[in-house]
Amino acid sequence: MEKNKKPKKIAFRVTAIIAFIVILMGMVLASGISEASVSVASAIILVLLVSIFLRYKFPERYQKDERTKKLGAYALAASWMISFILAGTLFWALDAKVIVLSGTQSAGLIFAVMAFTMIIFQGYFLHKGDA
Amino acid sequence: MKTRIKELRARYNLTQEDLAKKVGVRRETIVFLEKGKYNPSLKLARAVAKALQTSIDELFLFDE
Repeated sequence: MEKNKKPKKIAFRVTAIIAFIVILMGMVLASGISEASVSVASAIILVLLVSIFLRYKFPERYQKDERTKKLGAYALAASWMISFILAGTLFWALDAKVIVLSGTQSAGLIFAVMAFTMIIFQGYFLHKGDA
Repeated sequence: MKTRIKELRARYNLTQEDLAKKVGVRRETIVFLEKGKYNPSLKLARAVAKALQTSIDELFLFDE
């Protein structure tokens, strides 16, 4: 029991840090700083490296079965729907000039929201179950 | 939905980990099944019933 709890905690913390970095990079990108693309690339590489490390270190934590696949699909669908609504809202808001964002900033915002909501919904569904 | 997984698991002296390995799922999935928080596929329900030497009908109890 205790053995499984530790990797779970570590994985949650690492995921939270990664999510924070991705959002931060999105904000940096949105602010228009030219080094942002380098930072975003670094963040993506960091995410990949940490992900590979965690999967290697705690393989049982990342073992997939029908529950994780099914609930992961629910999370993906919910995240996709939120991003879809956001993209639609952004489209009309930009068209009506309610807000002013560049294409890069809009894409960055959708990217950050998609990643963030995916993590949130995945945690929620995996904790709640489907019954 | 209620299940008799915990009761039958205890009868056959199986841990959640043992049962999970027998049916090829994660231990957490067995935890969720026992709590009635997850609706398994027919395939998994059959595998669990088989591992606990019972039938699906006797393993999963539905509120009518």
